[in-house]
Amino acid sequence: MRTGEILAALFWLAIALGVTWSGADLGLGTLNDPGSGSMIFWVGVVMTGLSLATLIVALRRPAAAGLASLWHGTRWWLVPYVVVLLAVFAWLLPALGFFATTVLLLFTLFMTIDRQGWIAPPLGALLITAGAYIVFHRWLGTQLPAGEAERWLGELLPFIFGRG
Amino acid sequence: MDLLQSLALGFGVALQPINLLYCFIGVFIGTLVGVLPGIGPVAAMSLLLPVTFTATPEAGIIMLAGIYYGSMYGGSTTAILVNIPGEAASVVTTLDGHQMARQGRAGPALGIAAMGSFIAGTLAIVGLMLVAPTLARFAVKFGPAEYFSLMVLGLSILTYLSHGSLLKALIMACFGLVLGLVGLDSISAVARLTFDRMELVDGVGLVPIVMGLFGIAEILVNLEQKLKREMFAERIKGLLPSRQDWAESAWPLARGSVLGFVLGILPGGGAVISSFLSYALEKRVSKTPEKFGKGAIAGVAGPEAANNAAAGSGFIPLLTLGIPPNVVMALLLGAFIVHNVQPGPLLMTQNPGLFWGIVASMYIGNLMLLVLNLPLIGLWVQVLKVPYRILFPLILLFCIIGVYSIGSAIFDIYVMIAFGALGYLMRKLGYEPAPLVLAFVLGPLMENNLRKALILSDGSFWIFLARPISLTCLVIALVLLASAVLPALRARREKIALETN
Repeated sequence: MRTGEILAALFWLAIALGVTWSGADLGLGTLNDPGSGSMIFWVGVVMTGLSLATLIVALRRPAAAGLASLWHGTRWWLVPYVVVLLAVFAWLLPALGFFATTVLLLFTLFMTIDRQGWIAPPLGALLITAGAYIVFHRWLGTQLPAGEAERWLGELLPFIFGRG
Repeated sequence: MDLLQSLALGFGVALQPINLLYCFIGVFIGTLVGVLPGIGPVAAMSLLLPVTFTATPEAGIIMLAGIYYGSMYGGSTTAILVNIPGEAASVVTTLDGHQMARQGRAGPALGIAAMGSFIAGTLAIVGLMLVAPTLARFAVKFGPAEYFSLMVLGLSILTYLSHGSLLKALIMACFGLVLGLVGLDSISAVARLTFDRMELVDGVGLVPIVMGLFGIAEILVNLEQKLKREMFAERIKGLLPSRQDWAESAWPLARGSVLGFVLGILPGGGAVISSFLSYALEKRVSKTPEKFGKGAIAGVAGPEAANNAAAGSGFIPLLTLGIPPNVVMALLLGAFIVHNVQPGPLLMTQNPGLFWGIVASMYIGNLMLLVLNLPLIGLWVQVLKVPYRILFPLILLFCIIGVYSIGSAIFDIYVMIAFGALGYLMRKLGYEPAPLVLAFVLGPLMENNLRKALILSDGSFWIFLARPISLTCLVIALVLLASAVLPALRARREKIALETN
């Protein structure tokens, strides 16, 4: 835990120094006419002080269980897995469109996390995406990204996938 | 008479069919997210914020408000039946509510929770109706110095009540302030902290940040832990509490309502802390404190009344001062601004239909909730049986749709993912996200008022000390933050923080 505390404090210290520098760069102005960077600069200064204090507190703490203890007995690997899946989803979204990308995302999640059989994942992914698409896009008028797959489906099933 | 006329105007607005429909959707979704662990009112409100774009301001705000107080009702169902709080304000209900369920008294526990919530919710609305006009008249006299100091106080209280290290909570508040200042400077139009990215010129969106910190991070934490639920299997019967139940609950309900109402108004306070303090109060005044934790109905009635009263009175600072006292109200402030309505002291005079319409809709919403909660308990129990492996992809999907639909920008999805990962790590290392979000919303307002006050005073900080309200707020904020450093008071703060978290 101590290592984690030190790393976190260093992370915030780096952010705080960056904020302070950006504030100064933007211009501090004068007291009766504060500049654009004035508030950013002073918040950065306070944040630097707080991060340093956190770092000192962490350094003075006796070394106990390491960083790994935070994830002991957990399914920690699912966290980076889901984050990466979401990032890939966001990357594919403009090209493939909402429908195809979401089916892929849900199918992957259902297949790889606590999977129940072979039929439920693809069927569930398809039905949930179609349901969400109809409710949010067709009924509530929510804007969703359209891709090539959706244009093709729009010609095949205009009642559901045609752009309203 | 004036008050009655205003209320009549409000009911005229709230009883319009479209507003009734939005109110129903709001309280229904609120109850649903209250029932479901892993998604709270903040995430649900962020998700549905874009849906309100096409509606009138009245309908949109009525629906979002309904989600908030509806979730207070729904949270108790999960707490009593599954021993998992549906949302944070129901944590304390698990202590006695679930014990009652195990003793075959799930019905009266659910019944007193729903009826207590209804009574307290209604009393809070009456209080709101009486207090808000007076406070709004008073708030007209507020200048930039008062507003700045009041926001400093709000942030200080929230930081003080945050779990664990005060230093970490203050870092979070500072980071939130900085994030709130990203984008064009409202006075000089200079781009700040945009890193030459067009997407950041308008600033970072509130919804991607909130969805990331509260929605995605919550999913990541739950996935890692593999939630186990022990569903209370026995058939639920006899929802109406007995005469003795009512006798044991009457005073806890009254005390909880008053406590919740007062704490809900304070910036930084809210439903969570009021429910814990109500439980502590009931245990202290009870003639049989040994029964608490073993199925005492007073341990359900008091906290449930307190969290619902706080949910109602939390609207007072937002509607009268334009200052959100907590994260949920910060989201509502966002919804007001989206609809080009500025909440504050002038809302009541410039937009009486909206103000009183929201107040009247709460009466109607509370009535709807009573009807929804008691006869539909069976439905909520079924909802609870949905496994998390099916639920979490759905929540992910809703988060993505909610974030994308606001600005039709893929960039916002990346922001949400980044804040989801950051929120997960922050939780692991004991950093609370709530001060960050409140500071993010208050950041631009604070900066604006600080600059205005300094320009007005010709660069003198004396303006913050010369005005009594401003001075009072700053002194209280200073005392709070300083007290956290003193050993005796620090132990007390940690005890409160531990209880509220």
